[in-house]
Amino acid sequence: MLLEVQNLTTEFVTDDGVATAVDGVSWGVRRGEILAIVGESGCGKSVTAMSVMRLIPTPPGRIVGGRVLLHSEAGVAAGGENMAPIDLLSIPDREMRRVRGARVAMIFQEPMSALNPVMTVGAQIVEAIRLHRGLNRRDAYASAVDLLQRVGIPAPEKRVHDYPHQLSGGMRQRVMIAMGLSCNPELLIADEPTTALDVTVQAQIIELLLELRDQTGMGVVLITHDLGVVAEMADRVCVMYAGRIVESADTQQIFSSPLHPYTQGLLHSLPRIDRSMDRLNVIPGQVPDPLHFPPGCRFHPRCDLTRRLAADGGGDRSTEVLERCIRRTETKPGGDPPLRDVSTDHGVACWEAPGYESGGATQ
Amino acid sequence: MVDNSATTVSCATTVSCTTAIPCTTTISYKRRVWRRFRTHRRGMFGLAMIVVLVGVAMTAPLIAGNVPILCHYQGAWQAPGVVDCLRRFPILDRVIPPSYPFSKAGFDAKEALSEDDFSLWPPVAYGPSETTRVSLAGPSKRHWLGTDEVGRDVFSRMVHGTVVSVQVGIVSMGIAGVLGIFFGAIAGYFGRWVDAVVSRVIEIVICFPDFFLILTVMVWLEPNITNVMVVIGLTRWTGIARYTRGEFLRLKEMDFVVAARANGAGAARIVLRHLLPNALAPILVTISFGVAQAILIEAGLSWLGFGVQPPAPSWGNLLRSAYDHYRDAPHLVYPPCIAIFLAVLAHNLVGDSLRDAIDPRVHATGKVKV
Amino acid sequence: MIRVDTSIDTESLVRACDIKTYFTRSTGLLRSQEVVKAVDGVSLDIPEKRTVGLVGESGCGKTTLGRTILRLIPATSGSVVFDGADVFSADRSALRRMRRHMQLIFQDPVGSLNPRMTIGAIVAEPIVVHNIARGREIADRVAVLLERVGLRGEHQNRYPHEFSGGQRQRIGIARALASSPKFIVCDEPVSALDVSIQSQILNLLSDLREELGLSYLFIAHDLAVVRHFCDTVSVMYLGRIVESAPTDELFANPRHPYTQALLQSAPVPDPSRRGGKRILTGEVPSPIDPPTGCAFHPRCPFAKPECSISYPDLITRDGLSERHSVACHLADDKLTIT
Repeated sequence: MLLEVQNLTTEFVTDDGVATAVDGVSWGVRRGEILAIVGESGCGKSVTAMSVMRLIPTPPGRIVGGRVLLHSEAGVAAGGENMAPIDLLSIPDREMRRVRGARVAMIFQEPMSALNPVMTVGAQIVEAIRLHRGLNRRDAYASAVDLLQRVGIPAPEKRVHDYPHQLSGGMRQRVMIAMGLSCNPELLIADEPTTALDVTVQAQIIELLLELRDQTGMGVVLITHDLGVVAEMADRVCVMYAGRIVESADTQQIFSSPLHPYTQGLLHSLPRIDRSMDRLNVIPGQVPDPLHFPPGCRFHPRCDLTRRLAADGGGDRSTEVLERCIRRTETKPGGDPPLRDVSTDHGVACWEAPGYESGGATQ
Repeated sequence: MVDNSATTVSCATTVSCTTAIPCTTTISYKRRVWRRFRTHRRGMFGLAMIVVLVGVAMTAPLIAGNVPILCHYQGAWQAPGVVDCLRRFPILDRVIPPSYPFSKAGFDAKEALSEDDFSLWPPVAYGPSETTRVSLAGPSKRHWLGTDEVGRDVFSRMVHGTVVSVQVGIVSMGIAGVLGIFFGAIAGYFGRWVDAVVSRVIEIVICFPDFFLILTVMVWLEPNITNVMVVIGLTRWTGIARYTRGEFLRLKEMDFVVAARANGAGAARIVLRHLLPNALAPILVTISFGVAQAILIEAGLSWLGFGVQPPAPSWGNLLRSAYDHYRDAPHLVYPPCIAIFLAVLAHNLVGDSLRDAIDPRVHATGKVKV
Repeated sequence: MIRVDTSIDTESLVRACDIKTYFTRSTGLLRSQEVVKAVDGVSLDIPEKRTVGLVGESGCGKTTLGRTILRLIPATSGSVVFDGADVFSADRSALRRMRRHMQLIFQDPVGSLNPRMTIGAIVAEPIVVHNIARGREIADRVAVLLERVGLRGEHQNRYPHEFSGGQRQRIGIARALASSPKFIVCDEPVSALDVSIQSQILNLLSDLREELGLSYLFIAHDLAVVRHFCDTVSVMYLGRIVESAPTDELFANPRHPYTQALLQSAPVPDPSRRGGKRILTGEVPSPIDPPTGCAFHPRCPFAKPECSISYPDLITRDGLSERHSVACHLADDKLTIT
């Protein structure tokens, strides 16, 4: 494991109450692995990433629980470094600033707002390099040109003198990636890296990220809403809904045998470019508002299963299932289902998933 | 029919109301802004002070004056203070007759009313121009803030000076607001040559340092409060116009305006239904700062002797006369100073908080120069 | 003039002919005039009760074209005939009457609704402007429209911010339907929505199309959505249509290298089909200074010298159906990006 997130919980205090944007989420990413966290707006995927980086604006946000363990590489440990993992949520700010950029880097959806408009891109990369690697100006500059070359920017020795507005959207995203890579991070967190880009450019950036992963062996956490991008890039997938992970498995399995009704619904509701279809399947209802998550299983108001059973009206089986998915009391088994492994490396959080009853807690 | 709507779902699941819309009464934009405004302590403090100021201005003769609020005189009940108070408003002064003989020149209510007559006096029973024999006295039970060089009660003059400041704020910014919104709106909506003409006019007007422009104009005009208000209004509209123009230019490109055009809505409908309601709140912010500026300008003009003319009281000329007698009666300086400071501060605080309430993301600290 | 003939089975409702929309802007100290050719000679035929898709990357002019057709942006030249009447030469009152029958649905569910108006007033606006109903009847009609798009009629006096993105998009659709239009320009109606909401809105739009006999110009960048929703598709690149064909044909047999590249780069939600794609290099050039000849030639893997000299006509080709036209010098060579 490179990074382990355990029971992460992040809240936001708003005018209308406390919103638990991320509620006890656990996942891990290995070196050289691309983990996709996929979900719709308000599901907490970006907040998860920001919490790992400790970039949650406080107030209104606060991380109320959990651990984020960054493990050292075995080789480094042998060199005399501390072998125990460090908990990114408990180290002092100073140390966290050293971790950011040097060991964990982050890139954003909107490169224009993440780049300083009055500095040349070269100057910005040089600054990042000098901050963390302590190189002198000349070496840092050479290294910046080198980085731009690596992220596929043509004529990098000229482009270093450009200002962000002189570059196209795709080029800006490449610059962002170059900045992220400037200190050879062990982990890259990419928050919707291709969402603002056109299809042809998106394909270029996806390929670039895959290449860089292969070259450097870094772990990548990909935050996205686009299942197409997930299928193209990810090794493993966590599906988030209403602040929780509802399913996690390797990419093949998520797409070929999804277990959670939400994952199934998402996959079936997608129009496909590779085949024509008559009518789209639909997940009814709205994406829930973090201030008003439904009681019981948070997906139940939109769930096919509970709706079918409720429509049946009566029947022992349906009453039993309904009670378990909808109930709010803690005395009987039921309520919000925790994530459990139903087979090797395939976790799901649904009372009705096959094998769920006998499944063990994940990790 | 579409069976996939949120509403159908929540009914089918037998769960309590889980629609995305909470089952409460609807909240309009105004109420949302007010809700956020209420959370700003400084803004609420400013608003409270403005309410007090306006209240004092409206009821000045009941707080300090040389006629009783209510009395029994020559066998009849009279309320000369209340009548005075009401007759200060336009229109009402035509409807309500002055209370004879209290309003007659030279009539002294204090002497005319005998001990036996019932009379209820204002807390400070001195008119703003009423002279007493004690001049430059310190604060006392009779004269709360002392008296000035000719023996007039300073508290009474302060209270009646409030009227001037409030009037200046409302009337001058009313004029500036109408002009500014009108010119800003036509420049922003029509664009092209209209915009070019209005923008040039604005540029020319703001080229002149406005205080000196007002001073110059006041040299030609008869210096009285009406002229002060009109001149401030005519010179201070540019900020509002520029702001309105900017808002209109921004809003004009919004999709809901395009939608209105696609529906065939005319210019009047687009301006009045779509653009102005959305631009109004931020314009109010600039107007709020503008009121603060206007109060300052009036005080400055009166201090220099170009504004409200003595013996009529205004904070500016009170400060002037206090300044002239600084050595003999230093206590006279503070009341007008504090009053001007608080009035300006109150409007700036309200403007700041209103801006934050409109756009909760902005945490502005500085004051906008209008 | 090259006409994209899609009017075989039904009559054409909207016929746009050689539309050019140029923007001029002055820049710099010397006020030099720059001309942005946002739409540069596009002809489009939208048959009655059909959906024409318009695909392209950002800046290709698809939104401008949609709004030019509705005369929301003045065209530099060209003509649009809507239901037998010329849109661009119509006088004010004629245009107003026309507007009743052509409507627009927006991408941004937040910006397209006036935050200061209740949704009842928003949906009622076309009814009021066109004087379709009065008094009580307006509210009744609005209630029916809201119910039709899947909202509750009694939500009329609520404000837009109380609704989620998908619900706001439904309100926008109700407004577009209020004046009983025949033709609706859908400008990326689902691209700002969550995945699970997209399919709801697409199904709603397609139900309405069948029920009310609507014609759509469906502008999108998502090829999967277009494939699902449209009868014919036109692909735009830098202000021009490069390929136009019935949907199934276009997806099965794309002839223009750009169309092929678009289809290749779209991510498919199926990990077993990962990788092995030919990815286009470079990005869309600026429409201020477009490449000479075929605008696509700097990125085209097959570009020949002639491509940088003359712009290829949008015409039908041998071996393709008569409704399939391609603007490529090399279209007859049957080259394929693989």
